[in-house]
Amino acid sequence: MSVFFLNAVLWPLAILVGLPLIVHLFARARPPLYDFSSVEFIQRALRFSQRIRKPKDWLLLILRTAAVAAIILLFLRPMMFSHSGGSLFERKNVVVILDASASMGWSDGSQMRFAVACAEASEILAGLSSRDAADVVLAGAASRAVFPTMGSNIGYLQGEIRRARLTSETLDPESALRLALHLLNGQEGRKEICIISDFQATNWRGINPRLPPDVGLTCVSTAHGEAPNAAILRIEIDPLHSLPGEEATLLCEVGNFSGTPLRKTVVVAVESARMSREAVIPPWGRMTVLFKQRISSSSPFSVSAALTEDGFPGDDRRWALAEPTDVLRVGLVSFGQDDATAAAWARGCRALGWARPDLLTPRWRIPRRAVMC
Amino acid sequence: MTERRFQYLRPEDIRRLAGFEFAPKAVVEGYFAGRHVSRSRGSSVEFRDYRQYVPGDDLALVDWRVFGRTDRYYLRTYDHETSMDCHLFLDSSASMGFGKDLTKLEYASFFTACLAYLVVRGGDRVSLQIFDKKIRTFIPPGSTGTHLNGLLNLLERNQPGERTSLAESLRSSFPLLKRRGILIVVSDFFDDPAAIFTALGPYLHRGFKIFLFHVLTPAEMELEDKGLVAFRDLETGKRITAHTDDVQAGYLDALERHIDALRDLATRRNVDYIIARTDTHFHRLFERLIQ
Repeated sequence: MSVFFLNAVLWPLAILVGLPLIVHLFARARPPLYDFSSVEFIQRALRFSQRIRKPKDWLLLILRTAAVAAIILLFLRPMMFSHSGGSLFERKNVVVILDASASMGWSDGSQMRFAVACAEASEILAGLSSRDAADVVLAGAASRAVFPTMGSNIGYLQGEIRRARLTSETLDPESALRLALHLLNGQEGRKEICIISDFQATNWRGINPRLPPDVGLTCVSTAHGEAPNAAILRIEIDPLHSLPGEEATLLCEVGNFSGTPLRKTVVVAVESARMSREAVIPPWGRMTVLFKQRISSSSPFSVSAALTEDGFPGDDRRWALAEPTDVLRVGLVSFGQDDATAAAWARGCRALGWARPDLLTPRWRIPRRAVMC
Repeated sequence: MTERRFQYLRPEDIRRLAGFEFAPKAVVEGYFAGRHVSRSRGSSVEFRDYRQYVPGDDLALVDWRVFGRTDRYYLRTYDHETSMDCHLFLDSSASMGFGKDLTKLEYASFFTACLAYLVVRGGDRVSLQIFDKKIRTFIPPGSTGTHLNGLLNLLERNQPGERTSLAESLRSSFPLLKRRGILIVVSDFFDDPAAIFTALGPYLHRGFKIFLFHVLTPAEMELEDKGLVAFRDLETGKRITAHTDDVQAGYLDALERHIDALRDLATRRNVDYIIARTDTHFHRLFERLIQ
């Protein structure tokens, strides 16, 4: 077990621990003098009260000292490592894995988890001395390191963290850890990996990093409590190529990624028309919401589906392009030019106006009858 | 009697004392005929009782009327009136120097001076002992104006001394008092009550009438709020740092127990115990004395 102070530069503040003791001693030593006729009765009174007061004084001193020490530790921000990492004054090699996956876009009220993670990463880097080396791995579906090898330009790393953008990818933790280990390989001194993530269950399930014994691991979670999230998973139009005047069905599949049932309103916008329907999505479940829409023309139009917004708005909206058609292609299997049946069907389709017959000649022999495709 | 102006016997005090007469009801013994009742029988106008004639008695004292009725010789006896000795014990220990505007010693000196004046004015004899841990000065009994002047001069020169040892001083002074009379102790009684009354035992046994005046300042009786202070003992120089709020209740309790012990022992021994607060005029104490 080793302790690592994120704000080691504030160590001189530790002198303040002695402050309560000084206050205690000075407070005792400087009362004004009061000439009294006899202190015998005061002494008798103190015999009783000092039995209570003296331990109370010491307890007060201990509490004051503990309070000041706690405040100083708060500023120093100590971090404990599960593996022994050698001396505190040894050179440190720190790789910060910064989760930039889509789930980090969740907003816990005031700011996104990714913003919190960036701030944490920047503070960790600020706590390093000039002798230390560091690198930042921006983790997503494919992770990338800021420096190809460990570097000591902490300011540049902090700048890259400021410029980092959230991706809509899922996280591949194993590839990020592999990259971090690769960066630390061959470095001298203490080696540490610091993962800053929301540790989304779907990404981290089954991940059991096996690190070399000389590499310490610190996990900093930016998630606080559960993040109930609903998403539009799929939007489909049935039939795919509708004819003008035909009633099409719009299918919106919504999912609930939380342990509590969610009541959500699904709003579908087709051209200028808007339809909404309320849905109660079961915990960790999915459901499909159906909308009916009559197709007015054969020109393509967009369909958008939206959910009432939650903490993660990235998956609350989805779009689809509908491509109606003005004619329905009808395939007719013809067995040569003298196939009267096929010719009659083709004539009938042409007479309908919205059906376009296509005569197909099979390469193999099938029973002599017309087949509509 | 007092031409020059004394610090502790001011003209206004003398004027106020004009209405007082120091005559405590105590049986005394004395050489000179005076106003006080003596245990010895003698000639005066106060009839005491009859006793049977024994050879050698003065025949002039035989009550012939009783003889006529009973056929027996009886003598009429009368109380012998004599002068009184008043012994003043003034505590001059360092603790008596306590007090903001008026120290306890100054207050006690005013009282002692007026008392001495009253005694001498009444034709009685007054003695003065100034003590701290031992007897510092002893002025034997006297009833003249010169004697009073000497006593008042001594009071003016008197300064707070060392530690209090009232019991020891009382023990030492007992052989110095030749005749019984009134014993008035003016002190702050910072001593063990049991030891004080053990030392007073011989006086009581000899028939002294004893008055104890316990001089205390309001600051001592209430322990005014001073916050956190270093109490320095005026007698020992010992320092105790304490907050007055913390010790006030305990201090008052201890002081009350001390006073109760003194009062209890005084009541049991038929001794008058009076608390003299320095914020009340000492003339009020004379009222207690002549009750």
